Amino acid sequence: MMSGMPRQLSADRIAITGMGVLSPIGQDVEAFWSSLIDGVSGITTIERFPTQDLRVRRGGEVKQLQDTPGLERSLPACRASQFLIHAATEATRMARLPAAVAAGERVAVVIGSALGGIAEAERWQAQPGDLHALAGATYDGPTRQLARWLDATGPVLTLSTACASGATSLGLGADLLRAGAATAVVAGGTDVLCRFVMRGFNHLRSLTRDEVRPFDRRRKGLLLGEGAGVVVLERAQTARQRGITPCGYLLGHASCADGAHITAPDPQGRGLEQSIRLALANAGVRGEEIEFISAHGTGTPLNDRMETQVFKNVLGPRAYEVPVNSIKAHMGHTMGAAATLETIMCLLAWRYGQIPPTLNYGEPDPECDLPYVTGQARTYRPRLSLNTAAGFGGCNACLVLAGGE
Amino acid sequence: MGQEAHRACHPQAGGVAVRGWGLLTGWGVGLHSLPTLPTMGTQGQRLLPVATPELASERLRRATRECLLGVAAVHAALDHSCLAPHEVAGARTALVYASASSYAAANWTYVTSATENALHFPYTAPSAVPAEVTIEFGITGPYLTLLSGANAGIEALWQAATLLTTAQCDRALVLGVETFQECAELYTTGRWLLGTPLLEAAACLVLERHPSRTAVRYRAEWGTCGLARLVAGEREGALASVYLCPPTARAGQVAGHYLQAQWPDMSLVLLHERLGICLACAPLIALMLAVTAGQPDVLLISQWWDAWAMVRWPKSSSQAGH
Repeated sequence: MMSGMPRQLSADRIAITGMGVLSPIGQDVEAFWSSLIDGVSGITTIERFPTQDLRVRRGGEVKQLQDTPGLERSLPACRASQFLIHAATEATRMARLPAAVAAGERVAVVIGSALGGIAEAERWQAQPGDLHALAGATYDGPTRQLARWLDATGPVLTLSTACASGATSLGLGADLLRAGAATAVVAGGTDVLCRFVMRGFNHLRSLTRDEVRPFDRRRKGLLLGEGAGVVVLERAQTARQRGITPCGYLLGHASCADGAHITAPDPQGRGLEQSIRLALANAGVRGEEIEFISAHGTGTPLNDRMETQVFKNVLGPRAYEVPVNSIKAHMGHTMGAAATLETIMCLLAWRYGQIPPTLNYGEPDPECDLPYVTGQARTYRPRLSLNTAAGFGGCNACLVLAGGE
Repeated sequence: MGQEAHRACHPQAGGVAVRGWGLLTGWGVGLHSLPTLPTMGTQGQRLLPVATPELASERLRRATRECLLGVAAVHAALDHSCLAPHEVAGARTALVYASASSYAAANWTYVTSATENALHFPYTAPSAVPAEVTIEFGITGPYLTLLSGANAGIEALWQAATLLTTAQCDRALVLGVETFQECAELYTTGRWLLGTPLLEAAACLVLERHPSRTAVRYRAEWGTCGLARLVAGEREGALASVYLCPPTARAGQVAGHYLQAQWPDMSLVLLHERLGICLACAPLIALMLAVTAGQPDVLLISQWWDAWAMVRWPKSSSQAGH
């Protein structure tokens, strides 16, 4: 179903004018999209740090950072900062943002992360050196590096809603634009694989030795990945004045709490449901207008069951008609980057008229009975999408996105 | 789509009011425990630790010190606001958490520890502090953790005001926690980044919508001329005071001299001189002081590395009656 024009489109639109990707399955938007459609898996044995003592030694690792045209300056040593700069370079170029910065526009940076610069603390602990390097281990270290790289002049914000951070950061960026605190916002998320997080999930026994199988009856858990996703946000009117064609629109957003458990999602998904309802209200979109859902879909037994039920609660019978996918089997759960990468996927699905498949799905689960896109990519052009995310600490987030120019 | 959706689609003009607060610092409990004069009483101490609150809750037996401080500050804020805990439960209360340092202890311990357990890892997430608060009080509304160093407190005040004025919640808790004790050696070695004395603090403000027409205004600037751009045009109106919240004494001196040169007759409060360095908690405490002093139109300014942040708390957003 192609929906009518969302009410907000005529009023206070936030346009997405640039997108940038650094992922285990592609280091730019087009490579990322090709891998998603072709069902390429980025899950490999982790090579960059020792894993012999861990139950699970696989993940979505970026093996080698490719050269990016335009990166003449040497990158900072911090891997998370490198990821961000790589993705932001592509996004800002697409949005022709350097020209805007040169013209004195107020450019803000908003980055979400589940781990921040913690890998730098590990590096420092292994080889103590200058304390300045340890300052990069703070959560806001990579954001500051990116702001310096971009010569940002406006607000520079770091946030964490754990693995929902990549959605919350886009919402906060939209708020900055609506408050008039910036004319453009470089927003997104990043996280890198390191022993810190692998040890943690190893102890929680959340990682699977099997494949990641979102919504499949045999699903046993998740695998971690790394990457960065960055978008450029600006008011639609500003984009139009600059002569930029938007990739799509961020119509609404919300981030809400479960108030239930320090690690596990609320079995009833109260926080996620509240996030979806608030984001739809914020967008001025009705549930029945949604045409595609990019689910958090981690492949854990509890998350996928809970998420399915929440979609039914919000969309009612319409839930059985709306395609749902999860791209976490392609590259693992990239934590703070995940929701931004999924946002980019939603906009590309509209651009190319295809929805990437949920990999490794084979056996239906009676409790997960929605029309998941499995096997191969489905030909379909969803204009209005929901992107959901969740994380430790009962964090949940939802974005309402529209494709279109 | 009911009335709630309609309100969220159509942001309402208006301000926000401070209903109450809770405060625990290295100086003691409550606003009255803070020194009234610049920090003469520190006797060379580099760190003013806050006492770990004793909470009678079996559920919190594994929680870290920063989590206990967060929960205790919210309890104190609700008491001060004459609100029962059940009144903040549910989806219409937002929690916006701000911190520059509170995650460091759990992270550093986990990085440096050879032995570990599954219970420790979840508490390395900065969201562990607000998570324990939402679980304790049953909060399921808008929820955000800001970690932009010392500027996170200003950002949290702005974000809470945005959530209220766009009707995404009816009440917002702005919580800040800063702890230094566990990593004291690192902090005191890195004096170029953080001044002394470091003041541990847990501060919580209860904000509500106010039927005024003046909105809380937020601005932030990045770069060497950030402060000049930040305050340009802010002298207009009935500005009563400027509260400056820098991370070091030197940064405070430089910014203070600039502001005094620009506005020689302005009342300027240097938070770090009066209380010590408490990063993201400083703007929250500054707002408590301003409201208590009857200064309803104030600028709160903070700095972190190259970033400057400011929130203007207008005259109409004074303290609400209980």
